[in-house]
Amino acid sequence: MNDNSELQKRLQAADPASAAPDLNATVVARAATGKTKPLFGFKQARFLAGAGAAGASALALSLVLPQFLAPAPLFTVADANSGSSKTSATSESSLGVADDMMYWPGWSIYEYSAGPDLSNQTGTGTVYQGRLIGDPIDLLSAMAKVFGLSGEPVRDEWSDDQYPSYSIIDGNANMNTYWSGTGSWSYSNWSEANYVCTDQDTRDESDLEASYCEPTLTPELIPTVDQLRATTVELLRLTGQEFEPSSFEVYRDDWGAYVSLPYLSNGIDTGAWTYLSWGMNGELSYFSSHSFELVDRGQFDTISALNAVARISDGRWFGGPPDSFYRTLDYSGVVEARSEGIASSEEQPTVSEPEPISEDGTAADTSMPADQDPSENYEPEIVQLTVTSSDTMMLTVWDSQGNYWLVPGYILYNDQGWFDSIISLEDGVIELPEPIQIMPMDGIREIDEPPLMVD
Amino acid sequence: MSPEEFNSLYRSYLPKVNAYLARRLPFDEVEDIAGDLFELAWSKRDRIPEGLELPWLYKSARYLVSNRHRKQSARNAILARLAEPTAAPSAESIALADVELGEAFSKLTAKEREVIALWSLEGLSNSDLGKVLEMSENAAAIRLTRAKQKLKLLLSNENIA
Repeated sequence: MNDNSELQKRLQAADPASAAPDLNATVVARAATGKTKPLFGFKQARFLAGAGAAGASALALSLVLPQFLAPAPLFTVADANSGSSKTSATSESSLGVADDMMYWPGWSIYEYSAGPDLSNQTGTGTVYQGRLIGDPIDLLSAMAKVFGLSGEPVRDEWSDDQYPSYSIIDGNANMNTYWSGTGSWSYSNWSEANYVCTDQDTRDESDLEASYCEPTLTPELIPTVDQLRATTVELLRLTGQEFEPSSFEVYRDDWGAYVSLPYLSNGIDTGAWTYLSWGMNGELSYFSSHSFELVDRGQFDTISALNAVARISDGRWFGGPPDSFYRTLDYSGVVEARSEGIASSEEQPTVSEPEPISEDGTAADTSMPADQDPSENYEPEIVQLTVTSSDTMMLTVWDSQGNYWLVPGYILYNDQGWFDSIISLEDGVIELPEPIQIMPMDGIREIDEPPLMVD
Repeated sequence: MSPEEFNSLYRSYLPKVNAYLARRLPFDEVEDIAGDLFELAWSKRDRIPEGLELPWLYKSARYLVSNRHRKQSARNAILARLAEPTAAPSAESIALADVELGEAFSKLTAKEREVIALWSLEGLSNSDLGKVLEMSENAAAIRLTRAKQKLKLLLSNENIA
């Protein structure tokens, strides 16, 4: 693959929008006439209705847990309807694809069981709530001074009330903040004039590329590791960040450099991170961090790792491990297990891939004829997994109001090479969203029958 | 601009907006986000530069898609940490048609996937890439070039393997 045009054609041939239904043209007219959107779009209705058909194998499961409403829960976990067809979303989330898994026509049901080494010991753990510090306008104004930007913060036109965002734009540099959750903010500077380059004409057959200036690498301009560390410390002090220098992770190559570190609150790793990067001209091009603190909301009882296994399949108890945990993982193994699981029908399963079994317990034949449309396969694969070990870990959770929480949980490792991160708070401490419907993806075809609900 | 003029002008962009959103969202959510997008366009119609309506729509759609992902990222703290928006098609959606390409695509960063998609699927020039991604044309071209080089390398490696 050496030709841009060939690459472009190949991408166009795989265009996921080619199967998209036409958009209702009244969407434009409604916008101009102030008509509100329908509360329940016809396509949603069609999708929900359609998900149950295309053969008797179409199935939806409604998994219901008892609701404990008293005492009042600390918060309501955000509805994570994305990725609802997956019960083992953590690995995918770490790759930033959890939302998209519902597109995949293949469908597996993961059945988890607890291995003999899991502990049945209960305990207690602290719950922390993220509380925004300060005011978004003041924050951006103060940070703009640190980074040398001029201009006033303005509310972004795409901002909404639940997730307000504000920006300062000053030429190629800008700052913005999303004033919810962790109060994430960033500085970016995409300066075009500060690196050495030579003119190149890369116009190809498709005539889509213009001439541009090919960068000439100037590694001598990029700060040394010691300089990067020193600048990071200086910037963290100027921006009022709490930090631990030994936690810096530094990367440097001929294209630029990066530093990342955990965002701390009163010495506690919040699970959020601060990032800095330098461009090929050696100038700081990006800085992102947060403006929040952790508030102790008390000690709460936790369930055992053994009992936490049953929560995996529910789909509503997932929390996010901190970045520091992901950095200890062997990503290649996790990625391979996942990608192999959805890959071609012609390849034999690898050692790391979960083996589907049929209902009688024998190995199922998952091979698919080469000429069969994979989207026609609605028979779910049953995948048996055994949770073999666990670690306790503080997990990040977002509530239904967009607030950030840090709660006790477990990393539950299974025998197929990946893991799930499950909240360990006893039932009733937090309120769960509505039960999740698990159904095969079909956003395209029109089907008649409603999904079958199973308690 | 009257509602009729708005409807006439912006309706012509509907297929492209539909395709953009359908590449990045479940199909059943496209109409809602498109509704938000055109409502935004109507409210800002006097500030959208003439002739740049489509890049403006892409730029704003990018934020709406990014916001939508934020709202649904209860399991995913990583998205919430990203201060810079990205709106890229999923590797899985690409893989529906081309598994090898989808696998290579999955190994790109979100920003790389986004710029590749805007170039190959939306067919944007470097100039429009810069407008949509809110960076200079040159910076956009560099990001695109590096992303293409990485994708080609990944595909090349897979062919060898």
